[in-house]
Amino acid sequence: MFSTIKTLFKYNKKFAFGFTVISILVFLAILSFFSPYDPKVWNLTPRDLPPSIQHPLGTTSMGQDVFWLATYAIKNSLFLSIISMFISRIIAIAVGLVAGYKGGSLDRILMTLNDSFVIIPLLPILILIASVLKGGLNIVNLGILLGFFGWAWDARVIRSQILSLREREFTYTARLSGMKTSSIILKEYLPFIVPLIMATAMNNMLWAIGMEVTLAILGLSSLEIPTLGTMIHWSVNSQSLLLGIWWWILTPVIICIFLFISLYMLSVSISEFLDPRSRLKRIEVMKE
Amino acid sequence: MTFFKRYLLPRIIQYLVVIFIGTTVVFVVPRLMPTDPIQQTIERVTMQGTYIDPDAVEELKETLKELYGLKGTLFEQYAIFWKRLFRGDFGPSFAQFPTPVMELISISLPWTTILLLLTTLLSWVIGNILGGLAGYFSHYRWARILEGIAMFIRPIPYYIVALGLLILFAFIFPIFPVVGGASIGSEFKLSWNLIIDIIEHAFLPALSLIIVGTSTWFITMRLIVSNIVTEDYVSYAQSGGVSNKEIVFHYVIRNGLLPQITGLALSLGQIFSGALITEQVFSYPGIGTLLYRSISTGDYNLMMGITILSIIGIATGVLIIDIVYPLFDPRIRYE
Amino acid sequence: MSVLKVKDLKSYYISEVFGIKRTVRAVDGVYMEINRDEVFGIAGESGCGKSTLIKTLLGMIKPPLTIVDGEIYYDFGDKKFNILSLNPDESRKIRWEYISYIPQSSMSVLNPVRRIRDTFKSFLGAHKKFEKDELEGLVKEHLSALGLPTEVLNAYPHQLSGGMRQRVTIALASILKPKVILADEPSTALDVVVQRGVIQLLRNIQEEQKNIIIIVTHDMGIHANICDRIAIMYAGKIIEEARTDEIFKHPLHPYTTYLIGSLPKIGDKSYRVSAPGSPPPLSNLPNGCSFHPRCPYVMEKCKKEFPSLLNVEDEHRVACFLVNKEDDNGARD
Repeated sequence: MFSTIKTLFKYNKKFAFGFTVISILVFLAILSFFSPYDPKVWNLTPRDLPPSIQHPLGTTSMGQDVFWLATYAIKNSLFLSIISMFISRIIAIAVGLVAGYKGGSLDRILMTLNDSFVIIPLLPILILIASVLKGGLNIVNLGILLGFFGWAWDARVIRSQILSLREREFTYTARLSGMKTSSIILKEYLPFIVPLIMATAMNNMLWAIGMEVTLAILGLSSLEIPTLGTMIHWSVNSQSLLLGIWWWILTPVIICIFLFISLYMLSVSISEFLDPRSRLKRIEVMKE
Repeated sequence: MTFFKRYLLPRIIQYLVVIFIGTTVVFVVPRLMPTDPIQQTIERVTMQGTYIDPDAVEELKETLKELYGLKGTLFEQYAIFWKRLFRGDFGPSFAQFPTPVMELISISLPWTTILLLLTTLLSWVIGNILGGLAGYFSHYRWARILEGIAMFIRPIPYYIVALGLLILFAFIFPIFPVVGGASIGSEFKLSWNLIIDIIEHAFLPALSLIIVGTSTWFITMRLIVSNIVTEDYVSYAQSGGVSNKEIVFHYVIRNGLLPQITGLALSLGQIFSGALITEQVFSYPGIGTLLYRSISTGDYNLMMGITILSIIGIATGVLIIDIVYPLFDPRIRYE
Repeated sequence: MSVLKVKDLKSYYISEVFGIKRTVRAVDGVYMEINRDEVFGIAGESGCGKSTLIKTLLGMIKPPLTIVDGEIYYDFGDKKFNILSLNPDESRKIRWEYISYIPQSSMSVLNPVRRIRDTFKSFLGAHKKFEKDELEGLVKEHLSALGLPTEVLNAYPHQLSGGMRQRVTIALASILKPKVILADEPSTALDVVVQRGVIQLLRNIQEEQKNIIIIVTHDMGIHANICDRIAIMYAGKIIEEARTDEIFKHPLHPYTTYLIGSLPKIGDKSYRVSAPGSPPPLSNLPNGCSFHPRCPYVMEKCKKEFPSLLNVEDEHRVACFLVNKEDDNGARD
């Protein structure tokens, strides 16, 4: 695992970029535990101060320090996306494995359901749910909610991978030698699927963070919890741009951009690493 | 017959399943709501200061229940819900009572349809052609630069791009009007001035949507093409001395478009939920802004109406594309 | 008079993935000379570099395929060139008009979303200007001459049988009457009856157009059927070369005897011996003669030195220490 990261880091610029940026952001998120300010309390600092040594990214119109607020926002947004990622992975893997391995009518039913989830526009439905639960959507709840919606596409990807694995020789060998279905899946398939799950997981985190930002801008999540979305929400709603308090809106927007790009680059580079053609070459070389 | 059974029938079933699941979710969710919409409406009426005697309140409650489809058991409500749906009746708006939801939607829909239909199609065409070219000529510098740019824009949500453009054009280079669909006071009568007016106002939202859309299609096409160039029919055509131009357009892009057609269906269907935050950022009077207003006023009927409409829209879009898809892929046409 | 002359050709697949370099010596020092009107066979097991040799002869060199060394001279009287020194556009124009190609599997070589007619149009249109109906007429005439129904022009690839698709690629390869046709396992993917038809078609074309055909296949039966001369390839090198009857009567290299031994004969019911083991990976060849790990007559010398391809008799060359006992790595040719 560690050596894989090292090779990727050395030979794939996208991975190196993504990994570095994510590491910095994670570091910032960890910094939030040492924050001198409580993010939920207003007027701890003077208002609307531009960046200075005391407040490296300035302060908000509510008297909060933008830098320390941002560390909380990164932590919460990452936390939420990780919850969503875990839940959606569990569903996606279960559906993808069962549909791909069992096949037949079970596969057809599962895929019809799955495709419905792909087709149904999630945003308006999430908006409907969020406005019904208004205020009740804290980080954990929102993460769980997004997790339950963001699995369909990846389940399809995993299923098609399983379908192609099923046709390979080692499956027949394993089945003929009397291996149980569950152990075939665990021992023979999982090594192939794990990297695929990693790549889709990054994409799901990206999606979850984006959804959170959307819902927060619309004012549909718990606005007192600092996330990247709520930071943008408050700064937009306080007319920070018109008032020229650019540091307030620019901070979460730029962090968002970096977060999105780095997660995307990680996902792309992992997929490149997984590309069967380059992968086969590597395996052959290692054998020799 | 076999074509119908093997190709069309599963897709029609899928269509019905999508609409069934979608609308059922839309029916169920608001009924989990802790607050009572009828109580809310009455509060709103009484807040305006008019006194209503308790009997009238009871009567009003019954009428509202009927109107909102909240009468009877859950099952009865569900039946009524479907009955109304077939009539295209989404009930009255809560916030702008008693204007029907359908009327509000039909005012906003043309704005959004024009904006999104144009931007979606345009970015699909540009993104696919550029992505196809960059994928085939991947060893050239310009291809790598294009790919790099698209890579960076692709993961950024469209509303962030919209915010960026807003900051750039509204405050730094004030060329375009920042808000609104057409200048206030202009009547909706077809004339040159109005069209120019609309174009001017739609330019920034359209640009932000095209920038993001194009990069998304570009990246997917680039990925598809990187697989197509290894196909035997491409290297065979190259061995036959067929010109690069012919190979790129008739072999590479032509085949790469097939999977992209399905993607187009999905994104055309998104039209009906509007480009929510883009519209709101530029105060463009489309479905997105309407949806935003329904959220801030707690207008569930309007929200439900837009949601159902977008579910039906996207499902229909996918079905239509599935039906015409065989025209583009002879392998399905002549099975 | 030789039309094609290959000198010390080395084409390798050189790639670097995530810091791991890898070199596959697909064609490793090949010498060949082919004369006018000749049907030349190249035989060998899969993975011996035959297909790469064909690609290189066609001038289709795309990374990771890299020409490390060597020359490929074509001499068509009016046109003489080394195909490896042409720029991409020049070699694009040469292909099909002078040197055409029949692919290994017709399954996926035709654009799946275009009719056969369009494929003919794009292949021909790239080399000659045609009047509106001229092209259609030419194609139809050619198809009928080859005994193919002209209706195939309206069909999409997936609507045709494997045999018909392969005939279409043969018709495509021969329509411009090229001087050289390179055929890469043209009948391998087909069943036996169709195979015969395809080989017969190739033979008819050759008799009619008098072109050189270089045919690559592992099937010695086909070679016996159609070729004038045969070269045996093993691990990127030609190890024996002779006239067809000569090589079948007096095979000299132990590997050749195995290949010929694997051919069934009518009335012969004895057990067929095939070469033990499998060919070495081209990315990791053994020292000395590449065949030595599988050779029953292996000597100490074979493990260290590589035998050169030397003339034994008239037009019969072989690279084996069993035959060339006093080989001192002297003159080739």
